[in-house]
Amino acid sequence: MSQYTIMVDLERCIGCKSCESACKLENGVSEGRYRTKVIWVNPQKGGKLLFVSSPCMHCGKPACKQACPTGAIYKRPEDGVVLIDKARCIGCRYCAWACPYGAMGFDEDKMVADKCTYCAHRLAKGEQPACVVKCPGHALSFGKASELAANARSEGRWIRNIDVGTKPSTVYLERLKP
Amino acid sequence: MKLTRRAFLKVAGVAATVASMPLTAKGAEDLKTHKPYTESGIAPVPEKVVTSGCMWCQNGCSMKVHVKAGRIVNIYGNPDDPVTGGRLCPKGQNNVNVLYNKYRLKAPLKRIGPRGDSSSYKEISWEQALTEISDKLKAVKDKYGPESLAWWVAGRSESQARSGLSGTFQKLYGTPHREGTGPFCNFAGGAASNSILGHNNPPWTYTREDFGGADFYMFVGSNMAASKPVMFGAVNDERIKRKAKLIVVDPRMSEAASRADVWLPIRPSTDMALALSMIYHIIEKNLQNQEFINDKVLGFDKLKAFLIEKKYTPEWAEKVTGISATTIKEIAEEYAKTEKAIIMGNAGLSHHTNSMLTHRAFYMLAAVTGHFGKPSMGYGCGNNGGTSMGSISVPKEKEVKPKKQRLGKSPVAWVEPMITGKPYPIKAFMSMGNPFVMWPDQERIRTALDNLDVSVYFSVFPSVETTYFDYVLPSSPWTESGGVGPVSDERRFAFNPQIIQPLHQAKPERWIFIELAKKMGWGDIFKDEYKDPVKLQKAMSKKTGFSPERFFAKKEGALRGPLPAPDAPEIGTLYTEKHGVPGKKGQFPRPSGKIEIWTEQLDKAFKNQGLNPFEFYADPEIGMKDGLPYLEYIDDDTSEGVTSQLIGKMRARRVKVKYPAGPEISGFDMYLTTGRPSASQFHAGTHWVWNLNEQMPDQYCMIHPEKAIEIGISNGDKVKIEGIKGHVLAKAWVYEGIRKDTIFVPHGYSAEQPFTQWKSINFITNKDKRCPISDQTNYKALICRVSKA
Ligand code: SF4
Ligand code: SF4
Ligand code: SF4
Repeated sequence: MSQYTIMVDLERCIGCKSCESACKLENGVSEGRYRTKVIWVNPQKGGKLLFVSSPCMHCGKPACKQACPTGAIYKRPEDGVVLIDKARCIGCRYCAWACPYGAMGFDEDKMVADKCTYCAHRLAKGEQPACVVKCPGHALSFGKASELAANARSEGRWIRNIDVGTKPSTVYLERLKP
Repeated sequence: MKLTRRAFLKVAGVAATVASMPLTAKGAEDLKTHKPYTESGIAPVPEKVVTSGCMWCQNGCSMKVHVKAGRIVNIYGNPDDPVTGGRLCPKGQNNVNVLYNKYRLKAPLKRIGPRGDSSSYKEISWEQALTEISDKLKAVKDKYGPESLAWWVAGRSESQARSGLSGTFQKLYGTPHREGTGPFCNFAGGAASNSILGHNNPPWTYTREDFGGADFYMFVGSNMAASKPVMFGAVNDERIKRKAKLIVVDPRMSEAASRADVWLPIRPSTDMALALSMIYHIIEKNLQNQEFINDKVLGFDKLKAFLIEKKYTPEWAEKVTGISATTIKEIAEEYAKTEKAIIMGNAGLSHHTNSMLTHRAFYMLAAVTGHFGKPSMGYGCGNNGGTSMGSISVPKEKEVKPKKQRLGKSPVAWVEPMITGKPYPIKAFMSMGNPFVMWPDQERIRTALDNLDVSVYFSVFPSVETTYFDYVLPSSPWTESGGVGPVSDERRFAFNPQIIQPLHQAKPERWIFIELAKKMGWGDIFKDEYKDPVKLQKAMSKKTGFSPERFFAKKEGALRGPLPAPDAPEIGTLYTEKHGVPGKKGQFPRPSGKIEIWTEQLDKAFKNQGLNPFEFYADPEIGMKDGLPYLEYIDDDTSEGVTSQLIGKMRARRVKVKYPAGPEISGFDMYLTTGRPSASQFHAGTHWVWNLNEQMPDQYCMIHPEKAIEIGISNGDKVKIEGIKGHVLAKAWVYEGIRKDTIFVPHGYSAEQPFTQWKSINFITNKDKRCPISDQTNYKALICRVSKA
């Protein structure tokens, strides 16, 4: 398997929330619900305002998958995308409680879990995720984890360690040091 | 989705606190009623994809509109657009949710009851509405003269109607009072540019080679991350790739400032002092580009002598701006020594009583260091207007020339004549924007309509105006209308084909103006065939290069002016030796062909109104609070004043720079500055679009933690902001990245919006304190006190 990833560059992100809109339009996500959300983090002690765009982490060991009593959540073997089989979802929300990144949402109309799919339907057409192609900041890139990491390293960038034990695939690049 | 604290801290970094504001919108509305058009499911595969342009901001993005079964189902960026590379901000793509929006005005309305009450309106036919309006316009003209019609052609509507047809209408009617959004936006920047370079537009294009290619950027009063997100994203990308330097001068750490190497929290209203002292230091160190000056600049010696006489040193500027003299010297030297260096201004400079002189000071800074003539350099301000696309001409014998002098540049100048009838009355008012949200002095403005014989409001959405104006006309936005989008900062227009038919009974403004003009008796000029945007464009562009064929030949569907002839080529950077400005004479199309810092004629023009072109003054409330020089106004909006010699033939106000002996006002300990809330908002209109509103739902008050402790508030509390004119409420956003003595409150919110309701900050701003030259209102440097609400 060659894991897909979105690489989020915390230095390039300009906080515009275009990724939120792109996702909502592409995936029919309604008001107050999110598959990705941009969090603005206040500056602290002379630091800078930070923006964190937060799609699903498509973890190597997905906590949601482990928590799901019906086996509705699966990790696609060919590219590591974590998906929900909505027909098997019973709406118990155990997955949402389990996800340490808060990436699991809920569709209250259909009473099923809902989250970022890395735009699997677009990937199937050979297209990149909606949020990635629209991002004004060039802050999101999509591809094979190993290639993206190599690119970042060649720009002298550091990857932020965000692992709390689930081996997340979505990657965050540290801000540049002043 | 909700973030659990455990992993979130990992992602965001230690000790993270989430900014209070961007949390989920919980408005008065039932959340469930605001769904995307797809009703939960992925966007359908489009049957066709049409190239169009965005109607919102001056980034001017080209877009790919996805259509299925006669419905617009999604919008992507246009990968063939050399400006955007296919990127889009939240607003551009949300044009979908502008169209399919339950709040839209659906039919013409007539007021039959008291103002201020939405139940005072009844639906009428277009025929009745336009007949009655035209009858009233004719009667006003007969009784009071043509000058008594005022027309604010604002709004995000398409440019053919807004700047084309409405101008033809104006010439036939004979009023001097037709104005766009410029005086609320960045008219001062273009006026300053005209007065010094001889043309309004900034030198650069928004391409990686030009605007994106500098090694040094200084953004002054420009939060480009929110105002032009797509281009800022590219600049930020370039900054990281090429290690370019970014300095942002702003009282608060804006989104743009949060990406900068250096953030300089300047005291509001004092940017001119920064520019002047940078020039002072550059001259003192002999870092000016003397060869460039000798060749291409007039008036350098006058400037130098004045700076020395007034002692506008970095040390002086430190006291005025709050930026240390050492820093000023450092950035001045670095700027002078870096060839590819860009300084960009925006509304943060234009919304002041010193806007014209401040922009001029930055132009002078770029001129004395030789920063004009090549790509990736120079000074320029955002949104400085377009270049001529052509028009529907009016035969000489039919044109009615106004007999009375136009009353000021700003539409705000119409308010007192509406209320008092002095110096002569305005009796008819047509508005395509939101005066009751965006104009200063909201209390006073609400009383103005009472004295009018007719008031007409054109809009896509309801607002407070739709409970005050006599007639409300529903207009069709964007691809429903078709036409030409608003011009970008860098002179680009995109053509929008009409993709779907107008929904409800809404009509394109083009259609409305033509039908209204026919009823005025001008059907021979306003031809029915012009209702077709392509035919109208063809007719308008006879003498210019903006023909439909040329638009359609471009993959991005956009053309960059000036195109003064049908076959004129598009050019990139302006003010180069090779191109200058197409259609105008010389590299710098001033009368001398040079950059005019000072000439006798300019000096006379400034003196005409009591100003010296180099003299620093602050905004009145700041001057009174801190004992800095400020303007006293000799003329007000009811007086005749003098005729402007700088921005066209119109009434201009005379002033005197006052040097107070010390502070003159007490009881207000804070500065108040206002601006755009975030990239998702564009004044009032975006607040009717659920996905845009939810991204910044509340009128916030950005306030420093120390001040928050002093007044006993925490993040998210309601605070009361009291200014000289009035008070409003806002939600506290306790934020370390703002001057301790300053609060920032965004504009565009109002008490009549559907999701969240806030009394507009413009109940505090003052319409009488405007720049005497540009006539722009001071929205950005007021004084106030803040308390727990
Ligand atoms: S679209 Fe890109 S730049 Fe904008 S908030 Fe999302 S990640 Fe950041
Ligand atoms: S990859 Fe697709 S589903 Fe995931 S956040 Fe981006 S747009 Fe949404
Ligand atoms: S940046 Fe401006 S022009 Fe581009 S999509 Fe956003 S609002 Fe439209």
